[in-house]
Amino acid sequence: METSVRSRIGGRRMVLGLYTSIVALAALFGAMIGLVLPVKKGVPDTAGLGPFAFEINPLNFAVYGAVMVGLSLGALLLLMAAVSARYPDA
Amino acid sequence: MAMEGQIALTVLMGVLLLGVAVWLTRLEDWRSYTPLAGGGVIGDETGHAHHEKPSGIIRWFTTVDHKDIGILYGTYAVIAFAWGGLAAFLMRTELVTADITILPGTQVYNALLTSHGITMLFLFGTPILAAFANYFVPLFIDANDMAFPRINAIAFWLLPPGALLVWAGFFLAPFADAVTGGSAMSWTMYPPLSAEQTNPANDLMLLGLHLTGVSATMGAINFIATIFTERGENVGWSNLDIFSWTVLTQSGLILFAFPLLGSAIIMLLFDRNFGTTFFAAEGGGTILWQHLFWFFGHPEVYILVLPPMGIISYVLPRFAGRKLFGFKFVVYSTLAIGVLSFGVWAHHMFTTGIDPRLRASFMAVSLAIAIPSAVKTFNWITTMWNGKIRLTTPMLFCIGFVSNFIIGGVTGVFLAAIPVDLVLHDTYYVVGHFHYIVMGAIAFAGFAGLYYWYPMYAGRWYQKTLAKWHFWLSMIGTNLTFFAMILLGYAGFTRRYATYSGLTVGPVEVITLLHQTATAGAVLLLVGQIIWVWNMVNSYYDGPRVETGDPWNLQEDGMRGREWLWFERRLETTIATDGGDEEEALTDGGEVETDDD
Ligand code: HEM
Ligand SMILES: [Cu+2]
Repeated sequence: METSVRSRIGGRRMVLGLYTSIVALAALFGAMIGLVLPVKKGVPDTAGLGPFAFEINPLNFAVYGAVMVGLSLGALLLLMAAVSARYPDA
Repeated sequence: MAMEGQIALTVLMGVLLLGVAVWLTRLEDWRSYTPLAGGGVIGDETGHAHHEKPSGIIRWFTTVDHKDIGILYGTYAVIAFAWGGLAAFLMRTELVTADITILPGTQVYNALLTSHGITMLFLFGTPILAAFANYFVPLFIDANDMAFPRINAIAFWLLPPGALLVWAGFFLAPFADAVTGGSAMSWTMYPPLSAEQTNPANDLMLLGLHLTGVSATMGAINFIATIFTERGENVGWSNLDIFSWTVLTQSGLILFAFPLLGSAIIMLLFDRNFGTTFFAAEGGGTILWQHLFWFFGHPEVYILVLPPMGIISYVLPRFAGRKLFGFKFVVYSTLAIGVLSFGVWAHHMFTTGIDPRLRASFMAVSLAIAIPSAVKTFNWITTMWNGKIRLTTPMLFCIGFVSNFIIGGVTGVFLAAIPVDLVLHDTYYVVGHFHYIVMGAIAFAGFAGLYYWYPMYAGRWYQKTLAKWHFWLSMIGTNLTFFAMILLGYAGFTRRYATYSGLTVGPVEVITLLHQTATAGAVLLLVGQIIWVWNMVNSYYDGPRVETGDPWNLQEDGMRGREWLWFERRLETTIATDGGDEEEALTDGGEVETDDD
């Protein structure tokens, strides 16, 4: 029911669920970018910085997307958890 | 012959005016329901309350009640949303194939593109926010009405003629040879194109835009005055709600941005019609327009996003069962965005060959403006983290807002980096970026608000299952459509093209597939919005009545807002007096209704 106060979801579960689905989406999006980029003319075969160069293909880009988004949002998530533990009533 | 026609027309107009005059005198004492009836403000009475609203259509044409005007703004915005949405849908249908197949020609596509952009930003975006602000700011701050109720009405009534002028090209094309169709200058109206196109529809559109700008400015002055001077005894700056803060900041931005757009539009009109050379290559130059336009244009995007952020900051905590985390920081970041948004406009001009040092400084500020937005996102997520969440429809739209806003913001930050922008500028990536924000975030916040306050302004419940359908279709449709656009941008596909068979950036098959994906998403969006309109209208007449002053059961968490207290009082007086109005005589003989309806 729309107005019911009984059916509640724990905030943490909700946020962690969102986090997981966003990381999964990032992998999917990465894979699609890995599909689309090689199609374009004049795009190099490899991407990445310095030692982390890798071939542009769907799998590599999926991993790249998941790791990048997972790490950056994960760091923010940890920061957020720490802040809210420190100031629960802010 | 022509002479006689003119005389006939003049006589006809005269008769029409006479008719209007007679009709006006026959209206029952219309002064009785305008504010200050009977001569002015006496004692504590504000004089803003209404004696009695006339019935039927007259009520809507004469109203100065902030809630009625809010409803008017809302209705107007929904009509504009339908027009803009249909234009978008036609474009997306055309893009299913590489060549022109559905539309009569590419110029029609360009006209639809222009109409879509201008309509969504100026005729839907700004007005729907004004709808919320009009209805709720006075309730939140415990004011009887806006500071200037009649200016409020005038500001609204400038909008319908504005829309007719903006769309005029489409209406007039079948009847006037000179008008070759809707204006096709795109929403950015860059010269020399906009100065050189001879179609008079362009002039009409510029005039219409000017009207909407005047309207927005009048509204902004009114909100600033209202929030500064009309706050109730118990509402100070420290406990001003977050939505009113965002409306206040937005109004400040409007005050500085829209008059500038108005002036630039007039200069463009002069260039078009009176041979001035403000934006001609041999005069001020075409880049001058870009500077003026984006000095307005970038603040405009924050004008559009701040109040939605306010709605989210207001509604999301209600269903997380705890107060907004770090309220103060949300207010500070609102103010920071307000100031910074005037310092980033040239990130729309990185590729125009402006001075590289200038470019670098604009890049720095553009990256900086992401910080306050990130602060807000941080606070929304922390609010959820510490809360217990109820997945009501408004809450679903709030969560959808947050996740779409993250994608839109992150893609924006990449664009703000000059090397990335040089590659992606004017591709579909940009279109994807800003649609994640305007559709995925701003429109979602609008839906969150419309559902959350539906029990109040409709007095009835919407159908929950349909509302959930609306959410999921919108969420999936938005991501399908606009992520396909991001990919199109990566593939190097440039924006604003009606056909793409002669491509050189990559194989046509891939581009076609991506366009078809985007169109499939648009179909989902269309179905979702049809369900939404049906639900809103149908429930307005047939939905179950709201019986309590706390329809969302917020009391339990101590999260009931001031507006629901007002709503409860209204429900009680309606029951007590059986819908009648209590009256009280005033010393000067005027009568003012006492309930704060
Ligand atoms: C988070 C901070 C944001 C950053 C750093 C950012 C950055 C940018 C940049 C650099 C561009 C220019 C791209 C180009 O044309 O090459 C752009 C375009 C655009 N952005 Fe954003 N953006 C942000 C947020 C927003 C928001 C909140 C909105 C809407 C409310 C928005 C709406 C737009 C629009 C409409 C355009 C396209 C203008 C056009 O060329 O037609 N952006 N953004
Ligand atoms: Cu901008």
